[in-house]
Amino acid sequence: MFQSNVEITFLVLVVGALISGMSRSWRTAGWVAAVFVGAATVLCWIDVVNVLVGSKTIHHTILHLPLFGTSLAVDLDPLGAGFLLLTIAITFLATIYSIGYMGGEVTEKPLRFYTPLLLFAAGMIGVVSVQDWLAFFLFWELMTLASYVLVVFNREDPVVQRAGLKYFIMTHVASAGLLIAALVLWLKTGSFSFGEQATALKSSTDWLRNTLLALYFLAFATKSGVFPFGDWLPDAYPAAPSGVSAILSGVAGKLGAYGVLRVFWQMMGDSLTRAELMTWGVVIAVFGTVSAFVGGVTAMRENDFKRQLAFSSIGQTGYIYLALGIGIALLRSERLEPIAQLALLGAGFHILNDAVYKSLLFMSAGSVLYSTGTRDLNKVGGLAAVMPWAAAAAFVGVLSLSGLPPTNGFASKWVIYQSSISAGLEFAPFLIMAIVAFFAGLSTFAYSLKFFYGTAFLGTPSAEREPKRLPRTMTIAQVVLAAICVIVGMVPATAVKLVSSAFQLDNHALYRISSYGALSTQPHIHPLAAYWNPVGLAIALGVCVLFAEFIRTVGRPGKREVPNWYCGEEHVEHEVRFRAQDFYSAFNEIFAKVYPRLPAPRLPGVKKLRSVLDFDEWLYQPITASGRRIITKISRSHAGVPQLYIIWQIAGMGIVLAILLFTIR
Amino acid sequence: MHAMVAAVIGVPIAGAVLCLAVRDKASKYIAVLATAVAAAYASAIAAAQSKVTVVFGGLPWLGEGAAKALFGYQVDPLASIMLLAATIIGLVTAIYSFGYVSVGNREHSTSSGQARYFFWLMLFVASMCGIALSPNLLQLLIFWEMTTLCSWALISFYDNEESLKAGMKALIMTSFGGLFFIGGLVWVFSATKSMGFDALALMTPTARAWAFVLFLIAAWAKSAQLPFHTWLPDAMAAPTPISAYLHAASMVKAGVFLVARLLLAGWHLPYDAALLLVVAALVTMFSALYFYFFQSDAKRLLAFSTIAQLGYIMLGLGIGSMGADLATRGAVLHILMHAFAKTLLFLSIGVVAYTQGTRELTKLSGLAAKAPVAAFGFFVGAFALSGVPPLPCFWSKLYMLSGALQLKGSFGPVILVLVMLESLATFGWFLYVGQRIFYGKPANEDPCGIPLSMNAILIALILATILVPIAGIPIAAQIVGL
Amino acid sequence: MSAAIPIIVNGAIVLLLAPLYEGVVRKIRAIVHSRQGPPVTQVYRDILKLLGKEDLRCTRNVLFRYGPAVAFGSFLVAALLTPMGVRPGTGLGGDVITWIYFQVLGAAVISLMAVSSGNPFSEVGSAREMMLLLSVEPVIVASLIAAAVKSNSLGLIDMVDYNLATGPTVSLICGGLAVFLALQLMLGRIPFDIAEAETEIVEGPLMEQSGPNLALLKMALLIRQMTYCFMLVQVFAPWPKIEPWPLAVIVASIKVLVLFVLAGVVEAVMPRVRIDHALNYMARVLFVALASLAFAAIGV
Repeated sequence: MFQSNVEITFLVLVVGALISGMSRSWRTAGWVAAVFVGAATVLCWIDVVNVLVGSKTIHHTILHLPLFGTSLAVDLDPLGAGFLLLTIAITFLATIYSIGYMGGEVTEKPLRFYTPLLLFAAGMIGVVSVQDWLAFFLFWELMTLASYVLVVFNREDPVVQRAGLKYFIMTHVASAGLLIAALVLWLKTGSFSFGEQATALKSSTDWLRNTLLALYFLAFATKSGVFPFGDWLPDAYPAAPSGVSAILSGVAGKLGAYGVLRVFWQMMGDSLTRAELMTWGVVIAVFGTVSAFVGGVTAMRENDFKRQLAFSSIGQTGYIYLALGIGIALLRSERLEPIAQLALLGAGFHILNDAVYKSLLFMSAGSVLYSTGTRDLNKVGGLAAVMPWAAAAAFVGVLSLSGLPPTNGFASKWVIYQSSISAGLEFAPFLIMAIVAFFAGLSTFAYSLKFFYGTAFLGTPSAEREPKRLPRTMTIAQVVLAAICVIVGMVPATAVKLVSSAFQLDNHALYRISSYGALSTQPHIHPLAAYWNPVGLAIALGVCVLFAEFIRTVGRPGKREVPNWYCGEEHVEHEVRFRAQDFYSAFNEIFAKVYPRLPAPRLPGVKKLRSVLDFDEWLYQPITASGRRIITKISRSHAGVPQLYIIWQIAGMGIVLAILLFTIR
Repeated sequence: MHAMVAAVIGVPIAGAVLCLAVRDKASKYIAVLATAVAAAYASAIAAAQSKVTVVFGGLPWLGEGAAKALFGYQVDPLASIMLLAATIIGLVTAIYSFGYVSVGNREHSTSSGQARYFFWLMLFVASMCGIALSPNLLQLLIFWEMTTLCSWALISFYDNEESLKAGMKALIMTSFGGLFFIGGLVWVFSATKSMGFDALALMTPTARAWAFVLFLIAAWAKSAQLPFHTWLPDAMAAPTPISAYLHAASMVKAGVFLVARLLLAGWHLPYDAALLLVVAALVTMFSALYFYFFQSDAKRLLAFSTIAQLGYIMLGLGIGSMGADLATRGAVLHILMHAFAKTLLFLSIGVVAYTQGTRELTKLSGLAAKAPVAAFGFFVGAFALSGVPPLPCFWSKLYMLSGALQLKGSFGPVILVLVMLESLATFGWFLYVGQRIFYGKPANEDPCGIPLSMNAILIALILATILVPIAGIPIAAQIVGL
Repeated sequence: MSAAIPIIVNGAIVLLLAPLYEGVVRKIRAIVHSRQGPPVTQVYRDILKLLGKEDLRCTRNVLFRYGPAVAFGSFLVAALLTPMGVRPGTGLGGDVITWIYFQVLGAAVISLMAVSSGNPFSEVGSAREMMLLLSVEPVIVASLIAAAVKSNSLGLIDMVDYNLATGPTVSLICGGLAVFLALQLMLGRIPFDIAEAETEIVEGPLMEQSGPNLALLKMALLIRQMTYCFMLVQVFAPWPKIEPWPLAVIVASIKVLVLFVLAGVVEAVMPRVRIDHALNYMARVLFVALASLAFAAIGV
């Protein structure tokens, strides 16, 4: 009955959702969930390896739905497999993390956490392993629904409620566009499959085609959190429990990029005209650049570290979209095809890396929150002593996020910068985007290092509350992710090969990977020569640091522990703390208008319309009232006075006589 | 088939009579039993998927031809859909009333009158089945007026001033619409000597359009469409299960059922009349939507949502009569889907009112911890109603939207966008309301005992709501275009 | 040419020459101030002396302990990637993006180290350092991208080769001007020594460090200054083309010395500006850099 692991995985997750929901103990539920997700991970990876390494696609039908002219089928191609690999792995780690994280002082039942968590995972798996818009839409909405439940986990908090509301409404509205597009094309072809709908889209009028493409873009950009469609994101990510934030940001957000890749590249890459590809590519890239900038600058201003990371997600998504846009813009052009492929490679690589380090950082943020109970950077500090391993992992995550060597964040940003500069040689606006992206990259570094890492893990401990130690499960998840960051950063060749096989890029034409892992792009097919040797540089850095250590110890200095020096003044340590909100105050004044909080709009004429529509008020009640008046008047004629009745009788007789006289005549 | 149809209508009537005979104590068991039998037979009829019209008798003195054969039954997909909605939700309501109409109710503690309650309820189930199975306009009219009568009695059940007034209002407005029904019937009969649904086919297009408008006015009044919408929110003075059943699942559906019956009888509706139908439906939908935002009473909110959803059905029928058969299918399917979703919402709110003694949104908060089943039910209902896949109304709206796209010209896309807008706004508002009632800090610390029967039936209904598309879609798919 | 030569030469230049240059600057500043001033070898002596001094620890944080070494290491790697007259070998491998990010890595580690000390003066300095970095990097990046566009390569050495081969172009002159205008800030000298600001926040990030770690930090900052200056003279003004590489290295070093002297004179005659003034100034310089980019894009 089961021909691929994907549907078994799906079943495993659904069963796991039910079983873990039945437990009353958080610990048991967590381990049960972790076991099920772990099994799902193993199963999925078998399929992924088959698809990516064995280069075959999995396709078989599960259920025919003739009423809708479609069928439910597992359809896993390399692109989907690449995302599947990432999705399930990050989810697994986040589940492990949640065992510890949710084990604290939680009064709710595990039913409200693990069940939707596993369904969320099932939804994501579904999204990447189908090639049918109806099924895609169903899984997409399952994902949104399950993640909404997770976002509003702390439902007693009104801020969380608002965040969940905003999240669900915005993503739901945007995904309505997907449905419209699917329906329009369904009526043309009678099929929901990606391939046939693409053909229908190709043969549509220009107007219709571009409208539908806009709908697709809107839906996916909203899910990814591209500015300004991602306005829900800074509220929802912080509101969710941290393990869920890690999944939301790490993988669920990436599925928006998956959608863009699917539609604009895999579906339409061959059938759009060059001009259309260029236009859409530039549109996507511009939105990407703006998000990168806005995300970076706004995160510098933020004092709530989870919110800060949420803005940083907007920024990193911007990078991905920038690269995607460049890739799409230059697709199928004769000379620049390699640049397009390089940009797509950069996008894919950054998706992978961002998933790893962003989920790591959300877990770190969660650790701080777990330990101190606050999300306010002004109130935390000095946690490295309490959680050394988590602090080290967070350090790696922060280096990665800032794109500093020798971590994976640098590796993918290197490719993205390179492709955007190369693209800029042909189309100058890309150069400006490259510069803005550079600036955004540096601001990323500024906020993440100083703000998040600097004040939370380093600095002076805050006096407010004794920080808690972390459970082992939380630490393990973070350390594993940090290790991936470093390994991919030092030896990117394997990851690059993985991405190019998922994207089916022609890697020989693109870049050269030498035996010791150096990457270079080849000058003869590619206008811009670039070269980077991660291993060599890492060794060089190591040697230089050792050299510095040698210099340091050559004089055999003594050492002594001393308190902080305040230029001779006596101060209590935590009274003179430099608080997070004062960082970058000069800078923040300049960019104060970048992401303002707008007041809610007020509609005029609301009351008027309401009274117009209230028919009781001006129609029925007057009618019944006057009816009642008339009836009252008539009833007065029956006053019970005999004289009155006699007068009526006489009058009546007169009328009858008159009528008779007239008719007889 | 004869026996099944007889059981569907007869058992509830017998149950009603028995209810009066046994007085309060046993009446609820009888009611549950009778509705269960009716529901079972209705399911059997629906599962048989047959199309039959059987006539037993008539009124020969009315003249020759079709008028001779006036009483019988007609079974087809449309009737099956209506039967399912009427009997299954009837059963749910009866079981739910078990606990709700009791002393423990903190909103309306009820110690007597169960027999009266279940008598009218049973009678109503029977007449609703009668409407569904009617083979012609005259028989439909008879059952139609019976539902009006039962509705009046049930709305006024609590016997206080508010409910008496609301019952009277409902009675006057729906029977005012009934007058137009009679007018239309007389006109059609005098013009064609037939009372069949297809009689309109024999008329000239203009006369046909005007006769249809007469029936349409009756349907508007019954289905609480603009401008006759005002009775429905007031009718929320009824006990919650009654609101759920009459004013969401069945009685108000009679109006749209009439329109669907007429339109599916195989004659062509002139474009102008179809346009009227569509525009009126759109106006109703958006007016009702507009009123969502001013409701502080949860049930009134649901009432306006019912008005809007009935507008959907009207809209689907209208588009269908313009030539988009998918939309007709969607509209008919929506009768069933909406019945389940909305009943779920009503019953969840019923639990809230039962435990808290109030339906004021401002006074409710944080109930999810106390009434988890109701919270889950409300959210499932809200998502189902607003078309979150794969819940019921998604499928019916999917059909209607694709129907809208079948239309030529720019009319279809405009409707599509409007429908989407309404749907999304509904979704947003219900999510907001749901969060408001069930999330946040609890408003008070009172413990609340919810009767097992209420919780159990709520769980069953949640499951049914999730699964109903599997039953409904194949039936609706048999409905062939105009 | 053996792969080791450029590494040795570059390393030797930045490690041995940097203190000397700094000594010259101090001397010149003293002359402008009409003071006697320390001897030019004073910086060597300072550093040697610091290496033997006691290492005071105000925290047990690992970053505080190893931060100076890592910062030193990353600035040194960046220096090794810079063409200083001798072609950098391909074995090390890194283009301009790598170069920029190693510079940033060093700055990042210093900032973190400063914050880890827990001293508010250090934290203030660190925040300022970061803002200055954010304002200066776009200028450098824009100018270097202009060079990359012209030379069709992201390799620094290719940019040098291109400039040598084609002679001055409008875009690269403009870019060089932008980098030159930003130089004082890149070197962290008055009027833009806002981050260290001895008299205001007591050397900010460096405040809590002492002994050998302080020596490493001082060296690291000097290496950074040297690297920036070499980048400026080599990428934007590499002429004339000199064949035997030792001679080229000497010429480049002299050019860098001239830059240091200029910077020293400016430092001696200017007061320190406030951070918002510095940011405003850099915003204007950025326009020059963007102009160079625009020129490069249209091919002049």
